[in-house]
Amino acid sequence: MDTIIINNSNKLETFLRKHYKPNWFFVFFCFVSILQSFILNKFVFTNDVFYKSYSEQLTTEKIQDLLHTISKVKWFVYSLTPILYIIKFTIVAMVLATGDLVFDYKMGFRKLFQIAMIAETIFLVPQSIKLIWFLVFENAETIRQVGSFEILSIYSMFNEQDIYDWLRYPFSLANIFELTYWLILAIGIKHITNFNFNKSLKFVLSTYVSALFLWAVFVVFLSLNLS
Amino acid sequence: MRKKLKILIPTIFILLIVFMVYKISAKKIQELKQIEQIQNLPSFSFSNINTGKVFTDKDIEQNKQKLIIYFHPDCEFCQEQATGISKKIDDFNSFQLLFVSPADSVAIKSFSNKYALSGHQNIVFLEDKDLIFSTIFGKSGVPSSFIYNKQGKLVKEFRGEANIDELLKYLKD
Repeated sequence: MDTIIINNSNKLETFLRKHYKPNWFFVFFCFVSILQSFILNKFVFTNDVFYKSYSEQLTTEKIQDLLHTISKVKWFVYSLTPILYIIKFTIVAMVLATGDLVFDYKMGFRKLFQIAMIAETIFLVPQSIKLIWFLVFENAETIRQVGSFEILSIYSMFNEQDIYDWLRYPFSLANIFELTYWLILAIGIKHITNFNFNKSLKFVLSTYVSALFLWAVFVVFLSLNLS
Repeated sequence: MRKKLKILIPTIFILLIVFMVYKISAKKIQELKQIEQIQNLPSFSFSNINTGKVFTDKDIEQNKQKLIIYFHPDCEFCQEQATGISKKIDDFNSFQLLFVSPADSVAIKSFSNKYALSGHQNIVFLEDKDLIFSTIFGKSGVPSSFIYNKQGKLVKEFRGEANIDELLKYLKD
């Protein structure tokens, strides 16, 4: 397993050295992400889905108002995508940089930021699977149905009705793509240091994964106390 | 400095986790108690704005389905729900409706008059003077609606504005 990861990571390194341009990569990444959101909103979250989702709580007029508001603000929300990703990459890089500072590895914030950006691409995969699923295989009935489509996660192992709302986030967070994200971070760390893969992975576990665990508990704490 | 950070960061991390897990557990235990408490019509005591007397769960007509609505006269969603009920007031004739609000009795009276809900035998407006509704029925925003059957068992609860047809559907069930 270790050898396979290292061999693949060597190929990845060669590829990235030749073709990787950080600014263009970021533009391309944001474009794909916005495109996915656009397709999801246009073809999956149809007006019909909104009516079915809110018919118990809202009158038809209220749902129409809601749809009108969404159509007015959607482009503004799309335009926020790059900013939100910059914030996310910065936070991940800061968490890794904290470990870097404590252990005095001298990795550098800029490199950690780029590792976070490259690793993030893995999360385009589950979003693409979700899109294909609801465009080809299943018609979405409600917003909740689409939101709860968390492929290859602990969440997907349970019936939706059996999971408390407050457990939804931590259960959906525990998924194959998140694990892959950790591995990509570790491969990135390995390439900017002279660590072996195991040491890089331990670094990711003790920094990013610990912070993620704290974040998950914080989200549960907030969702219970604000609801 | 680094040695101190190596101790300080894990310590803060553990303390934060312990604090939040403790709070989460306490909250869940409290919620479970409240969920169990409202499965049967709980004991309560509010002030009837028309008579000025105390109105308790014992004063409810036992042989009717009951709809308890927690509201505030200034809340837009509550006003819309009241408008909806007012339009179909005849459909609600065979049920007991309790409107409970944390607002003062003058504002509640004005609300009941504005939406033509006063003067009905089956509708009672109550003032939650001591702000105890949420401790009895669980944390409730406005509007929140609770439907109980003739035996006093909870049939359905709505957190937020409820569609009037949905309310009638569960009341008639």
